[in-house]
Amino acid sequence: MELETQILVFKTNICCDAACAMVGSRLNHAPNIRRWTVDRNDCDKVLRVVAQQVQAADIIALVNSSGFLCEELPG
Amino acid sequence: MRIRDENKMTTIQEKALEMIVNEGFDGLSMQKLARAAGVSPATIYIYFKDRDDLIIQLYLQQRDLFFNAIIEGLNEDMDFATALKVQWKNRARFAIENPQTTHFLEHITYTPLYNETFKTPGPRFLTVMKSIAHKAIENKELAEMPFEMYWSLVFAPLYNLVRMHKLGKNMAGEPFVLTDEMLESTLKLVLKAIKP
Repeated sequence: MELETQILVFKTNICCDAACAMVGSRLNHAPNIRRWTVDRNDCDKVLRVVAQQVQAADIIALVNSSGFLCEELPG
Repeated sequence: MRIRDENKMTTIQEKALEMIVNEGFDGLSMQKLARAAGVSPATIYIYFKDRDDLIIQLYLQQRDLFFNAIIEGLNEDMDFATALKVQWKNRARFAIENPQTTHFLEHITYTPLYNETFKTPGPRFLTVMKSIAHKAIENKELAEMPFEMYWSLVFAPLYNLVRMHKLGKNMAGEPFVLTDEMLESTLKLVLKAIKP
C-alpha cells in the first residue's frame, strides 16, 4: 500500500546557507522525509516538507534541536 | 493534514497573474498574494515551494493556454499562406481577448526566470509550424533565413498592428481599429517580402 504524501509548512528563522546546511543534515537523515525546501526570500523563511507519516511536532523538534525556531504556519 | 484543492490553486494562480500584471514581477510576494487571494501563506506553500516556483508554474499554464489557442485550425498539410493566415488570426484574437496572459508572457522574458522556462519541453505547435515552414522553403514560398529573422518579418508587423488596436490609436494619436481586411492585406505584403 502506498502511503499518503503530506506537505507540511513551518515558519522558521533559517536565513543563511550555514543555517540551511545545519538543519538540512538532520532533515536529510530523517526517515519518511522525501523533500524539503526553505524559502529564504519570504519573511517567514518558510520550511516546506514533503513527507509520509510524519507529525508536525517531529519536524519542529528536529529543527529546534539544530538551534532554530520552528512553528507550524496556520492554515 | 492538508489536502490539495484544484479550485484553490486556480484562485491563487489567477490572483498571482493579476498582481504581476498590475504591479510587476517585483510586486508579487507570497504574503501579499495570500492576502489578495484570501488564503493563508501556508496554503500557498502547499502548492508552491517558493515565489519562483509559483511564477514558473504560472508560466507553463499560461504558455499552454497561448499555444493551445494559436494551434487551433492548424495542421501540417496546410499550405504556407493559409497556415500563416490562421496563425495571424489566432494570435491577434488571443492577444486582444487575453490581455493579462499576453502581458505576462511578454514581461517574463525580461526577468531572470525566463531562463528557467527553457528547461521545459516546447509544445507541439513548434513542431507543426516548423514542418510547414520547411515545406515552404522547398516550394520556394519562403527564403531560407535565420529563425529570428523569419519570426521578426512574419510576426512583428502583426503584433505592432495588434498593439495599436489595443491602444485604440496609432502613433500619431489618431483613432485606430484593426480590421480583418487590413490584417489580410498586410499579411499578403509580408508573404511577398519573405519569398526567395
